[in-house]
Amino acid sequence: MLETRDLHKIYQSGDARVEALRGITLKILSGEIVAITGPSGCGKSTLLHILGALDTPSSGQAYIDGLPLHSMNDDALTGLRQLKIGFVFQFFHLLPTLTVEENVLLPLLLSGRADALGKSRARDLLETVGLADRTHHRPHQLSGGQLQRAALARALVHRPSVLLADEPTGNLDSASSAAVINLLTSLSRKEKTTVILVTHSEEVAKAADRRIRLVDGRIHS
Amino acid sequence: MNWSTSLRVFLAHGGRDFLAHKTLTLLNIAALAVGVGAIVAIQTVNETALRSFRASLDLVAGRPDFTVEGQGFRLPESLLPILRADPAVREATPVLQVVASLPAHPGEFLHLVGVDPFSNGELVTYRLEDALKNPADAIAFVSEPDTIALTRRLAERLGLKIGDTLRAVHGGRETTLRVRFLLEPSDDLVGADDHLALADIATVQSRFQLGGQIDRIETILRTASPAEKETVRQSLTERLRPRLPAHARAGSPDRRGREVERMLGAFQLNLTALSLIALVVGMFLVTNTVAANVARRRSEFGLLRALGLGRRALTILIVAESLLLALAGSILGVWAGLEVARRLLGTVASTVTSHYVLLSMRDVTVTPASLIGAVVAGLVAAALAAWWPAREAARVPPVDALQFGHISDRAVARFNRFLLPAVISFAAAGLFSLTALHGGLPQTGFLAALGVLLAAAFTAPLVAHALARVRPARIPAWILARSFFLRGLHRHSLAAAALAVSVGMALGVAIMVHSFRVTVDRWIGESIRADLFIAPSTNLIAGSLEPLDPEAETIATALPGIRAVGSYREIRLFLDGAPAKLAACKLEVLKTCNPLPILSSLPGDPYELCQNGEYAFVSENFSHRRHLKPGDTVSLPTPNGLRPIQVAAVFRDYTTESGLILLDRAIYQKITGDLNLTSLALHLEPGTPVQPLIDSLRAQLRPRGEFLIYSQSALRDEALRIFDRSFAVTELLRTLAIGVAALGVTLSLTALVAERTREIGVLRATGARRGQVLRTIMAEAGYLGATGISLGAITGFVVALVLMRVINRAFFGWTIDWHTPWPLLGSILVFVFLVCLLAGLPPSLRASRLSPAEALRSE
Ligand SMILES: Nc1ncnc2c1ncn2[C@@H]1O[C@H](COP(=O)(O)OP(=O)(O)OP(=O)(O)O)[C@@H](O)[C@H]1O
Ligand SMILES: [Mg+2]
Repeated sequence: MLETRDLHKIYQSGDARVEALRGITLKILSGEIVAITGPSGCGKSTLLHILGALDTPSSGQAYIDGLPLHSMNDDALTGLRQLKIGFVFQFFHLLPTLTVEENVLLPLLLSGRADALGKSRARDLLETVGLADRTHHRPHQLSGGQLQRAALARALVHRPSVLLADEPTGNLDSASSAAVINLLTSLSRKEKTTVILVTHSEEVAKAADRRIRLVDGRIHS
Repeated sequence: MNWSTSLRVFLAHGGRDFLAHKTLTLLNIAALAVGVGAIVAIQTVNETALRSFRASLDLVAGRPDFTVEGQGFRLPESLLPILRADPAVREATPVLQVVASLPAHPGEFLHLVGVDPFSNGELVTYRLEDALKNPADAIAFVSEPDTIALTRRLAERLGLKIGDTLRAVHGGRETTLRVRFLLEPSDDLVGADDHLALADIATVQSRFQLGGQIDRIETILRTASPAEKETVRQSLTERLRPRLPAHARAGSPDRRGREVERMLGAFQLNLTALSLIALVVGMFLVTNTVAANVARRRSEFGLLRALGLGRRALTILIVAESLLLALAGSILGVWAGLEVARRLLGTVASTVTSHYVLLSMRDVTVTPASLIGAVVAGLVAAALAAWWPAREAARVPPVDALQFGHISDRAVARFNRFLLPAVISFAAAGLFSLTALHGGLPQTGFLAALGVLLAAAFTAPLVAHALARVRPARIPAWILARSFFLRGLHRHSLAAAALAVSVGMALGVAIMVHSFRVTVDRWIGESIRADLFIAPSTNLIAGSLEPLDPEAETIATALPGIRAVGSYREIRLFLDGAPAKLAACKLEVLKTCNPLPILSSLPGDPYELCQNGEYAFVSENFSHRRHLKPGDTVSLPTPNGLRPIQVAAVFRDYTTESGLILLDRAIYQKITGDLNLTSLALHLEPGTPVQPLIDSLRAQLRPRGEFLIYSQSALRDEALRIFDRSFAVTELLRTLAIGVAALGVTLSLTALVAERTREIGVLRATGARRGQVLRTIMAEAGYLGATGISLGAITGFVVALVLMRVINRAFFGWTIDWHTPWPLLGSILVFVFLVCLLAGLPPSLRASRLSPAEALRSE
């Protein structure tokens, strides 16, 4: 479960002061799929980063499964990411010198869990996303849609409780986009993963259980 | 889009980029500064050495049109009237120089020059004028037979005032001199030796019993036009030839300066070549920074191109920007170089003095031209270095450049294209080795070394690629590091090449110096058997070859427990325009107590040949350089005419670079009439304790002046000390090159961390801890270091081969036995590896401290 209370984020660089989030209070239940929409610059990525334990709020509280993100240090936040959080990005970001399988294994590798069990999990996931025959390929040999499916497998390999996706279809054509969103929703439903996805696409937003619209750093209902 | 708009956009972006990446900018400047600094330092030291040598020469010689000089031996005063009587000569003045030790001031000496203040009116007096204010002074200068003029600096150092007296010893003769005039520092004195003292020539002759002898005659010719001077000089030389002794050399005074320059040439070439290496390594770094810069600003360049800026214009803009940085670096380098040069002066002066000519340097003198030259070298290097990445950037189609993402995902392949240049460089190295050894072009030996280094540089990408093939086990940081390293190869190859070149250089020089040292040390052990050595102290302090007090031989021979007393006389002369040393020994003592390491000889006993006739031993390098074998003849110019001497044997010797001819003492004295000795070698009866003998010698010699008394081990230490000092500068340059290469590692990784910021953000998001990111970049530094070091290690041996078997052979003609200093090499390699890791630390820390959210937003 995700919860925030009066979350603020202020970027201060020199004299310039940007209030990216101006008091976000929300609650997302386990297994829920939520789409965040809103105009460019309204604070979607900022919110996602805080929920993903990548950044800390300037004030307010954020909890994942009851753990207070706002009061953790970098190490604790990293530990939390290793255990509970998966990310999918607009530009896939697979490491080009590793094979697809190695890329998917990366989260397990980094947290020291890339054992036989982890490997079979990775292979199962790759099969599920339809890349069973591509495990030993390099990223540059894959199409955009395939890359994003591999990235999805990477985000889920360590069974996170939350999957965060920042415009996962922003770089894909509509067919690949639909395929990725289908996989994303079906997989997370199956594994009971909470999903928060930022999108500009009406199509994608429709696939979510709920929508949160941000305008100017506030929730617009 | 017109030029001025492009320029504005470009500068605005460039300026901001510099500020945003201060570290990179500073590293870039530092790299060039070190390169240019090394050149300036070496250039300055070289120039100062030549200048101060010339200044000392001018100071005593003035600027005459024509000089007659005795080489090796002095000239008779009777030549003076001959010159004065010649219609072409307007004025002729004699000069006599001695180096005298000062018993009251151990470690100091006088470079006493006897002049004739009346006949040298147009020549030397303008310097004496500083001291002699009026004609009465000039009369006092000659009429009081103990008068000398000292430089104010030396007088102050010795605590002497006008009117004080000073005891001086030369050739066993002690005398008291009175300081009556002080030479003020003037423009003429800049760079000159402050041990200079002037006296009337008759004073020097009578005080040191050198009656009738002079070193040189300086003349002014009657003709005024410089064009005519050369022909007048030639005809004068022709007229004089039959009347001059064989060892007299007549001609333009510039000649001596030129000869010294040539002598110093090899020494300087060596240093210059090394300083160039520092610049070349600096160039690698500039290429690297510019490439990093260009990669980062790809989309900006794409925009400029899309807006209509031409390819060439963009290249020019990028190169110009790098030139701006280079200017800062070069200026910094000039400053640093001058500082380093100041620190090096002492070492270089003593090296030159112990190998070539008496030289003392006080402060650096350098012409603006050579500083400008160094700055230009820096700029040219930067322009060349920037050109390649600039052109690559300009070639990218604007559309590609504008595309977002995938910035560092450049092609990994295509490294095979460096194979051909590597092979060509290596082949060129072989070719140049041949021309150096057999083509009479020793200088090309340095090109051979350069070829080897270039070949290594071109091989770097291949080696890096091969190393990265080793797939690591399950350590995440290592797996990631390998992945990063592979993708960063376009950048790392340059850093690895720079590293390989520096390490190769460092190891090559280390092997050469060590081999040389061991060879010399063994040779000393074999060839220096005497137990005690005695020499005048000035020979150590001033590096001169002043005669030893003849009484020393009598005293030594009379000591108890002495088996034999050997003697040594050495003079420097020019044979066929090239410098050489002529020496004389008691060969019977050598033969029984200290046989020479003979390499080849005429049939029969070469010692007997030399003792009974006009035969000589020659050193290996003498025979090699002049293509002489036993049985060939050398013409020795002596005061008694040219004497043909036959080579009886060739022996191994490392005491001189120029080569040595060794005669028996009796034959030498008969041929030359020179009865002086330079040093004595005492062989003791077995079992005689050394220390009491030394004490007794000291006690008996002390009243007669300052002497050096060495035991065998002390002499050996002294020889090795001189050896080590000669190579001190080399080692400094070696350290510099490694330092620059280490900068390259920092630079390469800093650039890559900047390029990969977003990727590091992804890694952190995927669960990488700070420590893992740190270890990843450190491991990448390790890959880089391993590439440079493994390639450099191999290169080092090849460079050593070229240095020893090509350059040393071609330049100096001596054989250096190969000795590999494994522990030293090992420690250099470990040291360089640690330096690489250290160099990787700042970028690693920077990467690990990136905030994940900020990193993900970058670009
Ligand atoms: N590091 C930063 N420093 C200053 N301002 C920042 C920083 N990061 C983000 N901002 C500002 O915070 C605001 C919210 O940014 P954010 O990236 O969250 O928007 P977004 O909703 O994701 O927009 P988009 O849909 O374009 O991705 C913007 O106005 C942005 O300019
Ligand atoms: Mg966003």
